[in-house]
Amino acid sequence: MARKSTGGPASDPELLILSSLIEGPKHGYAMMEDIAAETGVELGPGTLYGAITRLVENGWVEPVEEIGRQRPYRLTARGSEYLREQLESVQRLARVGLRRLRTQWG
Amino acid sequence: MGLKGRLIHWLLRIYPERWRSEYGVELEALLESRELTAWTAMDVARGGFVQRMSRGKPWEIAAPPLLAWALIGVVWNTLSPFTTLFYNAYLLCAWICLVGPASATTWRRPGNAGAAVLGAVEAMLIVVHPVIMHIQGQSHLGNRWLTLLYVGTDLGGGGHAIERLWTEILIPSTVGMLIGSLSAAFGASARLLRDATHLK
Repeated sequence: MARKSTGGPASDPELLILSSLIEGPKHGYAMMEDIAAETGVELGPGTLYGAITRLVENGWVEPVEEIGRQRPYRLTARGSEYLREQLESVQRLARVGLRRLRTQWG
Repeated sequence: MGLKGRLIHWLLRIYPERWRSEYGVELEALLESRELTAWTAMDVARGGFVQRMSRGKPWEIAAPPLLAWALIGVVWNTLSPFTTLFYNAYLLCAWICLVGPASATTWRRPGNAGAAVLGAVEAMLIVVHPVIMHIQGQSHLGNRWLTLLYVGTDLGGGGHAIERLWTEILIPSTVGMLIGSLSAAFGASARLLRDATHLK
């Protein structure tokens, strides 16, 4: 459940988390704050941890040493490869869609 | 522990134990650091439900709707016997709530014989359900609060329990078993088909 969703891949929790972790490891709270500040999408804690669970299982992120009760996660090489593929796919779609929109609708 | 702490504790209980042992502490810390709004609580509850459906043991998936079905049916029908419309609506909901988990369980573990049996038993209970409703329905003739006692004595050998055994319980149970097996097989087949397609 993501609030202020723009819909489509831009509000996909997994892509949002992976994108947030490009800069370095973050724990759950820091990810939520970063995602809300950068994209305007407010991920709920349940949605966030559901996505983190799937990302860890796929080997796209991994936990690092705990800081108190918070555990940061970092992007893995496989995760960055997956993120690149997804973003390039979105970019291709956006390029084609925008070009056609300009042609047909001005 | 304050009210917020107790709420967080109960919200986390929705998640399966294995999941809690891995992520429970950090999710608890995150929830404690924020305002616990109704939206946040719903989001966490929904996440817990999803985790339980996708990672819980077969009985963890099947037990909650089964328990809810039994409780709602007994309480509601004891207080005020169902009208035909409500009865049909209730039966439809029961089908969705009980056969759904059977298919979901076998979707998750297509080779799990226990899950298939579970699906069969669940569907069996639904088919037997009209018998329970029928017996409960008679309670309005006397004291409604004696319904449970009436059910107990009737099924215990009094009244027409023996006659009912064959026509109203054994045959419907067998049909229910078959339907349950089919619903479980449906979940397993769908999963196997998806995996086969995915491999290509």
